[in-house]
Amino acid sequence: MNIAQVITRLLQLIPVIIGVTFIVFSLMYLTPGDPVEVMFGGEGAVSEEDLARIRRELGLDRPFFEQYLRFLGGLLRGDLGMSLVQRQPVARLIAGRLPATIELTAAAILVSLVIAIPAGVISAVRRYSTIDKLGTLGTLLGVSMPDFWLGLVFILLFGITWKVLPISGRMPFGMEPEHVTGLFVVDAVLTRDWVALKTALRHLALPAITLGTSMAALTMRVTRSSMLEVVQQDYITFARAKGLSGTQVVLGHALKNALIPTVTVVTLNIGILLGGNMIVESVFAWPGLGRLVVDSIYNRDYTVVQAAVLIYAITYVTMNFLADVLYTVLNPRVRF
Amino acid sequence: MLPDTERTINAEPILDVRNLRTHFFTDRGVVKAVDGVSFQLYPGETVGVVGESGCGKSMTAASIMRLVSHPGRIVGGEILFMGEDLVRKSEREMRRLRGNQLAMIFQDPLTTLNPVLKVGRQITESIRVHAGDDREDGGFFGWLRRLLDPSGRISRKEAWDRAVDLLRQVGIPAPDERMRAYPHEMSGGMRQRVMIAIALACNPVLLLADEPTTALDVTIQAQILELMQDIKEKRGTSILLITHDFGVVSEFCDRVIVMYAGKIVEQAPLDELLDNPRHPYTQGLLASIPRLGDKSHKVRPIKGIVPELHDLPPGCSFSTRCPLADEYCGRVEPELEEIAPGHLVACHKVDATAAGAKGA
Repeated sequence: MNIAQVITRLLQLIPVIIGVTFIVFSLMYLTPGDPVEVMFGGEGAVSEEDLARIRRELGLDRPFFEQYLRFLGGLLRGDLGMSLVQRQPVARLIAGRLPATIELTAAAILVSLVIAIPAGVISAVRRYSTIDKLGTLGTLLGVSMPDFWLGLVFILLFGITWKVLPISGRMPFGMEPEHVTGLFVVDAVLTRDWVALKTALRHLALPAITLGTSMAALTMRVTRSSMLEVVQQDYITFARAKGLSGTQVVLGHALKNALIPTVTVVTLNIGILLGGNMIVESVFAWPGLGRLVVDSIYNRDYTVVQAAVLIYAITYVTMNFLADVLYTVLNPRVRF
Repeated sequence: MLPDTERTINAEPILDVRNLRTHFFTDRGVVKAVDGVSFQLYPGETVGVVGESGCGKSMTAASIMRLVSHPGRIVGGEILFMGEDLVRKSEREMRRLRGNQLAMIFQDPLTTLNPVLKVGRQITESIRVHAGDDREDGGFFGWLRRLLDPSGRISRKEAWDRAVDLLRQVGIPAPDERMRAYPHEMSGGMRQRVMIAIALACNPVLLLADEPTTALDVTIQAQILELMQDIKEKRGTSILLITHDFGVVSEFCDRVIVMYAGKIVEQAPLDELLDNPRHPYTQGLLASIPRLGDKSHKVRPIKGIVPELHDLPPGCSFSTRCPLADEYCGRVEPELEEIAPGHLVACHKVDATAAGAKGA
């Protein structure tokens, strides 16, 4: 695939994203509840006339389409509105939380790939062996154990019984590395702050393993089944007939073919995780996007929820696009 | 082209298969895909193996390469290749032979070439993999070094140049450009040429060709056969050609082996077999070939189908379909017997078939 094709594909995303903004805005508009009342904390605190005046000032009395166009205009300028509860720009709130979520997502994906790809490949190549059976058992456990439960078990074991790993937050207050990207691990490396790096990794460990384990289960399953299909292909026999060793055949010939379905699963998983995993972030008090959304839903902070939903949708669309691009890299037969 | 009988008798065979048995252990029973097959192949000779699908001809080739996959297994016999028994070799020793002295090409080049790797990589790999063979230092680090750098002696550039040269030899125009193409970007004939180039990469002594022309158009078939003829003459490679196409056999082979239900039923020099086929199955195969422009020739198909290999009839396997079979054939299995120099037949009715052959 060449650059022109990538750009064409990117341009095609624009109408999709506009459609997404419309749906998100409509849903929020139709949701029962009055944002202005939320701002002033329940009924009776402020007089009816004042409420009407504030609605007018905020433009909430305007027709639906005018409000939508204002919202769209704001988006183009990077303005996601003001948080009704925290009285801060939503964009700033989200920007503050995003690095935590990105860091956790990256770590979780890394954990899941490190477990899933080798396990999937080995259990396919050594089908019905002990390793395969253990893998199948592990997958079953990984899929069946809910994240929050696994998280709690980890907290009990590593945090409370053995006291070897921290169980909440990203970093003790005041230990953060100098701000560069907001990703503590990256910042710590960039500023050569090894103490912060160690602390950041220790904090990441449990939530990342919790998220990574359940993702690894599915990824491994997909890798195993596609690998099983690939090893039966004629080109694998031919590769062996060339005199390649088992390992060379698997790594050099089978893996690239077998990873094609895996890529779809993994990129979609990234899409889901980047939205912030509300459950795992809550269990580990991880200050990411997921917890911001949970808090905002409790507080009826409409503008924050709206922006978050929009970000989820756009992330998902982007990840889909990325999956398509990776697909053509792995599989030269696929064309846009 | 025909081997002089003297040489055939005096020379050491390059391949000597003795009572080879390859069985598959399935839920439905033991499938005797290859059951007591013996034959020899002499230097520079081309032997055709003919038979219907499922008669064990591909499995014979897979057994020689030791590429029989689960649940199949070589359960008995010997495969002497240049005097050494392949059945007893370790997997590592086999790996040194495969793609080196012993090469194989397959039926469908579209499924046999890896779809996600460029052609160049697939050819250079087969050149480089054997260049490192002599550094067989054991242990984990030896394994890792071979894995990371499979060649030891040949640089990428050198392998690339040799691959380009190979492509040129198999008649691919603009080989430099073709090296950078994916298999799906080539035509069927091109792909088959690439596969042959890969097989020839290390100058094999023996080439096993499993239906190399079956998936191709007739005109391309002829080109590929011509290419193989050329290789045979220039390099003196011995070829075991597996096919179900008597046309290909008659064009290309010195000797023919006819297989039925995992066993050899007839074996003879080409002309002898075409002029004087003695096994009813061979006669049936020849009679079932349509002839162009000969309206008097009526195609006579062999009735019935190949019996299930896990449930073979007692006695002669062909007895259920044979026009000459009697009660004795259904009870006692015929042995392969030499009825003329180099002509072997496994049939109780050999005396009766001689007359029948003249009519066919």
